[in-house]
Amino acid sequence: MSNQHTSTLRVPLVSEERTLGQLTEEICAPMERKPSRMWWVAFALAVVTLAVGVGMVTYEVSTGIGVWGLNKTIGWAFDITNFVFWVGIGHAGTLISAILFLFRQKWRTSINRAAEAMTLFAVMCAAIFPVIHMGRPWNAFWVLPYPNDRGSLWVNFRSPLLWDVFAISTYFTISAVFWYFGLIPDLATVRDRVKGGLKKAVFKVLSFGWTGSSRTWHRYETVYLLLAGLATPLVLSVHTIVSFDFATSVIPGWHTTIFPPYFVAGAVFSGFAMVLTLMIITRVVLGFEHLITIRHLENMTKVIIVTGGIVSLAYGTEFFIAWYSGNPYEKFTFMNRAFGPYAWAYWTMVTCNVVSPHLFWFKKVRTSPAAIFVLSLVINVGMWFERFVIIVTSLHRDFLPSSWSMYTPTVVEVGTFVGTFGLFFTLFLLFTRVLPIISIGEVKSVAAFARGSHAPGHASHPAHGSETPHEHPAEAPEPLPTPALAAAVVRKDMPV
Amino acid sequence: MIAVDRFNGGSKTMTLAGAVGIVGLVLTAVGFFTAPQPTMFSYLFGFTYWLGISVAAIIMVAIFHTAKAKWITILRRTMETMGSSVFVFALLVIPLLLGAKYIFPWVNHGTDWVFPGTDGVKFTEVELHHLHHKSPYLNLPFLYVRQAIYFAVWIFVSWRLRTWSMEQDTTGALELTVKQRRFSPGSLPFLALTITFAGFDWLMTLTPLWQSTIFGVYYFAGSFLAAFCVLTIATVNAQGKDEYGTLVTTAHYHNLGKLLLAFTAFWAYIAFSQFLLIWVANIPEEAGWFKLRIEGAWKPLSISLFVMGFAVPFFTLLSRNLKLKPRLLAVVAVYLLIMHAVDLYWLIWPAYSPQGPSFHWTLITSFIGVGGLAVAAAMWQARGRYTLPVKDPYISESLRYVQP
Amino acid sequence: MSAETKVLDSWVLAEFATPDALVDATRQMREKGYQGMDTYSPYPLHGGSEALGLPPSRVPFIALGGALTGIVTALAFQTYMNTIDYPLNIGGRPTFSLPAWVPITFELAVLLTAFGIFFGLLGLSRLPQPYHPVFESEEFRSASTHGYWLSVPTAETTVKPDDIKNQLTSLGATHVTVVTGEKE
Repeated sequence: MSNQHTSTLRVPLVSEERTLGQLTEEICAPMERKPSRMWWVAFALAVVTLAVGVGMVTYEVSTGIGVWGLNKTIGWAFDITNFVFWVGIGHAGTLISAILFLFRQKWRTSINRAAEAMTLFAVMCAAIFPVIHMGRPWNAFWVLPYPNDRGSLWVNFRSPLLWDVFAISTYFTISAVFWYFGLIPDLATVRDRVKGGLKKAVFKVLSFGWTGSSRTWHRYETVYLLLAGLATPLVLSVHTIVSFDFATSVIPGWHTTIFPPYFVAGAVFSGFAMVLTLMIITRVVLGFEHLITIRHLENMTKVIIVTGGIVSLAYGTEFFIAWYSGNPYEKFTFMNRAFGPYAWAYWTMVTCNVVSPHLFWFKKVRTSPAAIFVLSLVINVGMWFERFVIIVTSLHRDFLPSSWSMYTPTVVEVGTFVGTFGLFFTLFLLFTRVLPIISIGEVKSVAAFARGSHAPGHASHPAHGSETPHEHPAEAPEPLPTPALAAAVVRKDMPV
Repeated sequence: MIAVDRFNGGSKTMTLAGAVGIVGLVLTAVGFFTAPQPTMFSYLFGFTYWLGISVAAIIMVAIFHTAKAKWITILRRTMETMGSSVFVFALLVIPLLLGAKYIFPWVNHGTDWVFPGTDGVKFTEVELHHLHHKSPYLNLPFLYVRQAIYFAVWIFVSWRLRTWSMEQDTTGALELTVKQRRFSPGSLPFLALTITFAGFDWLMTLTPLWQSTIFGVYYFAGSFLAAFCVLTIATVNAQGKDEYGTLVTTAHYHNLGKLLLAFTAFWAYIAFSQFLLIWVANIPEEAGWFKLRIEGAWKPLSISLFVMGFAVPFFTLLSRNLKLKPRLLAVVAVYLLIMHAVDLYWLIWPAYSPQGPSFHWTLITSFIGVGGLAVAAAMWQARGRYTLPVKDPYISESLRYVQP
Repeated sequence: MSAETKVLDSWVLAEFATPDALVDATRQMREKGYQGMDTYSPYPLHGGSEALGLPPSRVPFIALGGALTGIVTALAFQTYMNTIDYPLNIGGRPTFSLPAWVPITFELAVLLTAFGIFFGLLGLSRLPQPYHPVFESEEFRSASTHGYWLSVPTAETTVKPDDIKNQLTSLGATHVTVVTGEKE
């Protein structure tokens, strides 16, 4: 019905021809065959790392947070850095699934499921840090406003840390709903492929009795669109609120009004780097090169250039205003960042975040998975250092020189951080085994387009229908007669 | 069959706009000789309003090229035309620079400055000391140099993209599309830097001892919204002979409506972030700017700016039916343009009239004066050209665009 | 037979090779006067809901309701807890700090909207549904992988199932079958 006219200049999104049945087969294959040796090796590594983290956390909780390298000047360091780092990673998942969906970027279809899962796992990793920093994590529920018999006693709604509680929990819930919602049709597909037994029973329950009925699809599309529309401002608000943790204070280096958009851009920047890292591994290990194509990788590198540019602009503006303000403390903080004892961290950050993304201007770099992989790791490192620099350098030399101090993480802190990677990869590897990591339904709709069959009702995205104004069916305006339109020629060098 | 030829209409609009512009500017000049200070503030208001729209249009063209957007192709020429009027502002900025001492307290290190709306209050010693610290940035020669850089960047980017685009109208060469799409991403960092600092220079330094890192973003968030409003209104009204409006479908309007919604929200987000951070931290050196606006006589305007500038248009634009009706959408766009004017007034005027909102007749004359000339310049640029990039390789795709 | 019709219904299921054929057949069947039909496909069919003549979705209204509930609830409980019940001076900020209420208000509005539409969808579509008559057919399992199916209930028409089958075959169905299951 509402068929998008597509130029022949466009490049197909699924690079090899497949029938719908073959696609289902391929995407479901990793969860139906026995795990490969590579998977077992990776899984064992991840579980061991996770065990290290669990050990460290157990030690920390049973001993007290004195086992961390914090002191009275630097009361916040590794934990909050890691918290912001992981939350930021998570945001790219929502960006890919929701924002790219709203922008009708169809290339997202083969990566959005994995990216959403990544969001969930990253937010879990992030949430660990504030909880263990409480020292008595079993009292964590005290941050919630619940009726109690301690007289009138309520949490303080003017604190950005409480906003965080609401933001992160809402974010996790919505991400989970969004992810599960997108999974339902695919769960039904798996249900219908499995012959019987326990697995069939489990998928029967999980798929909610999905039939693929038009009536349900009709509402499903509206709900998906609305969820995407909600997740987009939500993801902005979450990192905005994370930035408020710092910016609402009066600490030089933290209190600056550009923090909200700057943190959001930074989150997208680091998150896309993490998605790239994961996708490059996944496509090689699972043999999905034709589904997660070079083009997907290339598009993501372009997002990285743009967000890296925004981050660089923010660094520059901050520096300028620090000087312009004439505030000696502000100026000192920034000079201390660049030339003080943590200068090595600062320049690592600049090299990784400001300089290295510009290598992506070269097409050769953008289309080489190995180069992208290395750069994505570099950017992840850089963004971790960005948070470290913001947090530690702003604190370590405060207003009183007598309380100046240095911060070095202890083994426990490093071990906890490494342990969260273990958690993240354990969950991600399990995910690749038990659920379809590519959205089958969505890939089918773009695969129809890839075959060049622009049959009405075929080339469209799964969740687009209810939005469509139906008063414009296939009879599009005639091509302009004068002057004749340029003939569309398929050209390799043509950007599409 | 719809035949589109080079556009030769609009001479009436052009003459009318030009005449209004000249009359407006002449009256503003008269205002200057009777009351220089309010007139210069008014002129700044008119200037930043229209220039923001023009520059936002240039940036948007570059962004759409960078994103390789196809649906926008049919609307692109109008954005290019809006951007092409930027050269007029290169002339209009001269009076602003000549009259800088009436609006910018930092001219001559602030020693001559008497705060308007007070009985001769001047900067204190401490404040002068701080101003002196900023003098490497806040001095007239460097201001002139910066203006020259801004306009050089804007005129060059606008001219480059537009020339290629128009060349394609005759040759239809695909390479020109490639060139535009290669050039645009490279131009974005320069555009972002110039608009950020232009916002600082023209609006933030009205209160030279106050600073906010997000200020540039605030100025261009509002300007982007206004640029999309102008684009919507222009498209709805471009229904004559050889004009592209007849080819625009509801799907395009739907997208324009979504962009209006998104930028209304974005502007509010930036505005709220700036406000909340300064309000919560409550540091004396920066709270003053907001204290002036949220307490006392400016408070009602601040509250109505939130309600009328964000809440009302946001919830109105949520309606899908509204976005599919071009005429209604144009009404919302006009409303948002008025709100953008209120927003700029709210940014600028408290510096002149801290005791409360006031009106000076030059606000109107300079607004229509600068606006008239800008519109006339855009019409002049549009005439004799196609109103849409007729040989763009994506034009047919854009013409048949439907909501996916 | 009469006892059976009280508890059992029959549906004619037809599989089509392409989505176009399905949409086309659905439209023609509806024009013939069949009621209560449904189509099934592995991804949403464009034009499918129009061919069935479905009304616009009510979901956006549920969303608006959720958002307003969230805004009102959040503003109310924050004001009650920090302004009325436990007014405490923190950093000199007013006990009624409306700007500081905004972040949580926004989060709660988003949360309740999302819950509203998610559970609203489940309610409107009667999910989770442990049983559906179409599950009786083994071939129907292709609807979630590559098949395009149409179901025509026999209960709401006087046409005999065999005639419906013939009509569907003449409309291009590649596979036609009848399932019998419990009444909904």
